[in-house]
Amino acid sequence: MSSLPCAAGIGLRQPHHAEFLAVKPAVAWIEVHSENFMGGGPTLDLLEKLRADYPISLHGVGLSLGSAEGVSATHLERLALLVERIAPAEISDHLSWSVTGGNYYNDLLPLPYTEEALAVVADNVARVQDRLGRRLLVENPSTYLEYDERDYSEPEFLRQLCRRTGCAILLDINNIIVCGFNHGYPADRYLAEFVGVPVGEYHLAGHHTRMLGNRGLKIDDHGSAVGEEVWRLYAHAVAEIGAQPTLIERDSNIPPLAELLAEAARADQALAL
Amino acid sequence: MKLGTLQEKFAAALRTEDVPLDLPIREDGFSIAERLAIYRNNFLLSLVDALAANFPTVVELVDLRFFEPIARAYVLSSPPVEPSLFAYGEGFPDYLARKPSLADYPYVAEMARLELAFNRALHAPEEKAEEIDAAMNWSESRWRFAASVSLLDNVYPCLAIWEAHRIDRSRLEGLSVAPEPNRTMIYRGGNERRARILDKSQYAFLTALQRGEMLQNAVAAAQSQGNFSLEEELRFLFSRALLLPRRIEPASL
Repeated sequence: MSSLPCAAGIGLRQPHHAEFLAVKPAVAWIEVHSENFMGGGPTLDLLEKLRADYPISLHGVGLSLGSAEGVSATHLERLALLVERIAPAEISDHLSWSVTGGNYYNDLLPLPYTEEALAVVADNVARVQDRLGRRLLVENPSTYLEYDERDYSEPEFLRQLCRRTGCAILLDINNIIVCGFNHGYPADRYLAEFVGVPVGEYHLAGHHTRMLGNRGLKIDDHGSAVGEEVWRLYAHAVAEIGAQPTLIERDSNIPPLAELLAEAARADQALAL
Repeated sequence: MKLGTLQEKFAAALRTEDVPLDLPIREDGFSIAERLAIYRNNFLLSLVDALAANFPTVVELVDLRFFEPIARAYVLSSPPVEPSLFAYGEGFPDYLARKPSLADYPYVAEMARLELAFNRALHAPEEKAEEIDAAMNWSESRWRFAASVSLLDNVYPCLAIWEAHRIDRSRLEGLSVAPEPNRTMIYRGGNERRARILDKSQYAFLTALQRGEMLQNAVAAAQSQGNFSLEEELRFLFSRALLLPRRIEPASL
């Protein structure tokens, strides 16, 4: 287990698997979705081959850290097996929930930022960290609604979570912009509130705007290039919070590898400034 | 509202459009219904996509336009129970078999069973070959299969249809979907999913073992169907670590 280098990595997705093995492109590290590698067979085999050449970050979407019913023991054991095998440099999941009544809703559903939710998430994070024997990174989500009940702003909620559990934050710059637009606050203000919160990684991605009547909502789709607004806020984050390993994240409309590598090179430049 | 209650109500709103929306959601600019619709769409579409990815030949057989409404209804009635979506759709073949609109296309549900078996073969956790104790009481021994193994008893030539769709599309022309009973074992060999055609006696032997019967009873079941070589069958299974000793829990001794 090494740590991620303070440089840009890219998300490795299925369309690039063969090319990665064949070409071993020059990129500092790679991130994969943990849930795609929780079986056996050729996909897990691929990851075992790649870990010789790249530090790996395991990014999860399935822990459901915000579930009132707790983290699934079965899922946590599967993750523990994968972690044991791959010895990743980082392990992360989201500040959201996706499981209730034993069903998995395949989305990062929003949490109310209340005292009760903080206690639930802190318990779940602590349980995961205890089982894995290491620190977890928790990512700020994209959200399309807010609740009436709230005791904390999102940055404050995350700060408290880090304090209580010793976890750190995976700060998704795109998600800050999406939420700021959707809920009517300036992204810079969010960032200013974040100073002093431990950040272990950045994510950079794209989004699109969907019109509902004459008003728009920004939708995080991981399906387009990193926008200029995201690059600008990222430069701020690097200056105010500090340089950290940075991922170019793309999950749909996967472009040729060269495009992702070009975005990674741009992030590397920003980190070096 | 307690977090557990909020999550139950939220999930109910994802699964049905007409539940009361008594969730503590801020409305500014958009209604609660509009905001929830974004999550409902993502939940439904992403899982319809997951099903389409897991059952690509079923999609081709029925056409995407027909597949989508069926898949949506399945997602609503049976959302996944775990986040690894390559395993999603355990109940999909049975669901298709019960669908009145597919009554005239019974090979579609069989195809779904085959694709489910191939997915399982590809993603099953690895199992270590275990030392076989030659001095054991063989006749009364009981066995289990590696997780990658499925045994299929088909009425239609699904494997041929699958190969035509997935491997060699030149075979699609003149492809028959007429009944042609056959038995297949799907498993993983090396890193590849594999299909092995079984005769009636092999199928009887393997399904008896799968039911947990003793080896001698499985052999008797095989022999009632025709010629059967136990030695050849076991060599095939052991050399690929597909058949493993069934461990008896101390409590049940």
